[in-house]
Amino acid sequence: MKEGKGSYLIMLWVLIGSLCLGVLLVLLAPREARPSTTENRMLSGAPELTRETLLSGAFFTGIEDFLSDGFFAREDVISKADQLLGAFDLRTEEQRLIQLAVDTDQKLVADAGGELSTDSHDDTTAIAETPTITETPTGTPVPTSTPTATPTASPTATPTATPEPTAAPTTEPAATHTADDEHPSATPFATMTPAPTETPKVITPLAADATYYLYLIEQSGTKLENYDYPAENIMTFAKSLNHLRELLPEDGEVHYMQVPVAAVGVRLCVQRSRFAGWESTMEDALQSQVTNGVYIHNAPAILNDHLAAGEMDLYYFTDHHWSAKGAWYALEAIMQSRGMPVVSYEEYTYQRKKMGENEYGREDWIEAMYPLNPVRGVVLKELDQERESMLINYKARNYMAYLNGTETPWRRFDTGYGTDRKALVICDSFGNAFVPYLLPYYDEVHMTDLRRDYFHPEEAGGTFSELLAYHQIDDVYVILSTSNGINSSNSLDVFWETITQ
Amino acid sequence: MVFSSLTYLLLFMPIVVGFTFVSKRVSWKNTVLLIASILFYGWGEPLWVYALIGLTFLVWLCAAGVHNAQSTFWKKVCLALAIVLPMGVLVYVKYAGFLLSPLLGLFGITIPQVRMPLGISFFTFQIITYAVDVYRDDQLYQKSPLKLLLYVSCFPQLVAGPIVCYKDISEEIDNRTTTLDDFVAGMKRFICGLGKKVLLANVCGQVVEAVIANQSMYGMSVAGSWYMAILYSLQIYFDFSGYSDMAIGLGRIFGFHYAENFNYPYMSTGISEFWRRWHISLGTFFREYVYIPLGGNRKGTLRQIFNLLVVWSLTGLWHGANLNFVLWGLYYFVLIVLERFVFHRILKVLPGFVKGILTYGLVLIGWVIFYFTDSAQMSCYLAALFGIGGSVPFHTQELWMVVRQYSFLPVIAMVAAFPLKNLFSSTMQKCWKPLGTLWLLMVFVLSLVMIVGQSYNPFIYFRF
Repeated sequence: MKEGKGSYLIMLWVLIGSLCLGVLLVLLAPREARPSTTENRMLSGAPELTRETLLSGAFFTGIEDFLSDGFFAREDVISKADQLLGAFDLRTEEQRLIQLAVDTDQKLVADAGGELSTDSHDDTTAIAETPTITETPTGTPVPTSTPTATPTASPTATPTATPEPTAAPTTEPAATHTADDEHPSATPFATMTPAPTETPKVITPLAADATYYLYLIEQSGTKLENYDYPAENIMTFAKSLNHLRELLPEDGEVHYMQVPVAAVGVRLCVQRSRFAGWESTMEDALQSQVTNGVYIHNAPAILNDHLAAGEMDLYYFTDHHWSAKGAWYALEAIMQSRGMPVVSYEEYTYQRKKMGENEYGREDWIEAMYPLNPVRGVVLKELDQERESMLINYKARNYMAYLNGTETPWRRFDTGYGTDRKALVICDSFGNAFVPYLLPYYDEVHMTDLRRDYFHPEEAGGTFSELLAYHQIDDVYVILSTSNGINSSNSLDVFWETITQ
Repeated sequence: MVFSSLTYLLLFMPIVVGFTFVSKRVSWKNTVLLIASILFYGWGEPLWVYALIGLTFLVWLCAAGVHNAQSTFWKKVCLALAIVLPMGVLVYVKYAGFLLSPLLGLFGITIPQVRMPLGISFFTFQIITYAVDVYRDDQLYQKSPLKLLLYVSCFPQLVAGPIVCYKDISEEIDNRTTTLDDFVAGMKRFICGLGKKVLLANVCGQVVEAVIANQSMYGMSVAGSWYMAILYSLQIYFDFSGYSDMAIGLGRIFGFHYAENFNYPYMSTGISEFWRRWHISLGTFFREYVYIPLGGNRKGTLRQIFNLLVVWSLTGLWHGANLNFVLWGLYYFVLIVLERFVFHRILKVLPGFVKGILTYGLVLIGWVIFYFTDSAQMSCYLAALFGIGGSVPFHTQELWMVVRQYSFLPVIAMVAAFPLKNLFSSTMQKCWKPLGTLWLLMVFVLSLVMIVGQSYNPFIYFRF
């Protein structure tokens, strides 16, 4: 035998090993589709075997997706593959981060249906003028280059006396009060002053050909168009938010925030010598299109001062999400706009962990907070079939720490604060870091993800509006990243289709 | 199904190889292979599998007509039918839109879109070779339609070649042996091809996309355009030759000995030589079944040029129903005519390495034509290759970022495109042999890792 016995045995075992791995995968891979927070998509479950799926070939492609998405230690395997690809990368760390940010950002623009512009990132391209300011009958300037009425850094942003870490979360929220007692009571919501009665708002449509932007502002003051929002998309999405408001009780509120992904935030951090900040005009335009009771919050404006102050930890450098701190700043701004006190970021106790290794060599940290009150989380299927669910996964070393990732179709967190109000957070994975800080304001915080394929009425036990009524939701928070916000089909089509079912 | 998929590597291949090896008789092996091949094709094309079976049966009937016909006239009629039937299907699904849409569009008629079945260009040609071979040599007539179906549908070469002529394989269908040596050598060849496809071609493809995205974002440059062309030349080479290696390796495991399809084409010193080294089975098909029947070079220079024009137009069209493929075929027609009839004396005196570089440069231009189905983009890139059209800079800072990012891969790929093993002495090769198997084992594991992690996994040649 020319090839040798050793070679024969090795090749034989390659075949046997492959078969064993394949059989184990078929037997052990998760059979249900499940969301992946890190990949921002649904991972495939076992494909359905029907005549239609067989004839269309969907069953066969489904098998491959099932095996690939259910592969053992898949994320580690992919991470190793990435490391392998990046093994001979000769760029400096800063070059890699900038390139990562630019590429991701560009891909997002393309995915959102925008055209790849040859000059959108060109240093020499300046936006000479911002759009002209016009007044709507309600007096809302649209569009404007200045942010909406967004709270600046609040007193609570200043570190206060941080309690010593405790093994278990405190049971009495009152124990977390700051020394000057300006901060929350056990039921912060009860301290809210009632909203003044508002007269019906007259909405003037935006000019059809108007476009609104997220700008990156250079140190020289030049504004670079980073992301554009056609007026048509804004008005379409406003219609959904207005409909959502109609589904709530009379005193219910809808809050919307669209958060730029880490790609843009990281650029601001890494290229401080080039960029002074960012500015978004979309929020004002959207605010002008929504009815009373719908509030649009300007995330770029909220985070801008903190980024300008050199806070590098509002976004992860090696993941597309914002950090817990970034999410907390957002919550702080929303609550202050409602006239509510805020539990400062430092008042929570955290377990701090370095994120898993990655090919970019940047150290990111996961700050997994301990809630002020014991919290019970459940995943709800078919209306009231409960399965226990985590608020924080303290073992995770990535963004999965928050809420243990996305779970479908509906989640509920029982907070025990006795505020007599219930909130629903409609979000993509950006909501996961936000929700833990929202808990003190509500008795129950519900969550759902309305992206394509994430929410099915049959699985949830009712249509969206039926569930809203069944759970007696008072307020809705819509927290989306730019990937899934205005411009994405998830927001323009799927969102509307789901809430109007 | 594709070879570089988990379904194939972890389930299909081990099961089929296992069943084939426990089958003692050739007829059992054929049965296992036939069932596996139908399943393999039906996996991706559940409906077209019936067309494959039906076409094969029709051609078998026509060939039976050729075999049994008493007169030459009826033999020719049957042969014509055996060619027209599969070609008709191929033309309908692949070219009808391209050829007729502009004309019918004038009358407001639209041709319904038909999804092109996998590998139709390959198996159509294989069916035709059977009919022609039977016409030329009556002994090659296959009595069993199932054996003919096995030849046509044999899964190692079904969807992306190499194109196997019936006369080359007819003996092995009826009578073949598989040894452990064949198994080991076949497995090694398969893994080698898998590595080429997954570790080199796919990653080169990612870099090609990165360069094109970079150029569309930051502007074209001369260096960027050549860099893209070089990377694409490596991608398409490793993609296709990797698939051919997998096919040849699998064939060997099952006892078939397919002819080589690639022979280090980028070390060619002329365009004709390049085509003797690139996609050899396609070149052989066109030479034996089109060029020579048309008269080849036996009927004078003008007729030879005309024959070349026909062959290269068909070669271009075979690759796809788009203008760029036709242009690509005609580009090679022009180059070959120039090489043979105009510059042959000059080329004889040029040093080998100069001819090599010149040939590679011309091939790269060809790949740019081949890559861009959009004619505006193609013109833009062709102009950028030579710095024509406005102020195209030689390079951009942003391009260097991409070059630095993928610093090592193009070098590895370029080195692997040349016959490295010839550099080592036979003694050294013997010493490395045991390590070579372990190296292949590592390639297999790495390929699995990459397949799990790669959403980017297209086989370029499937669309042909």
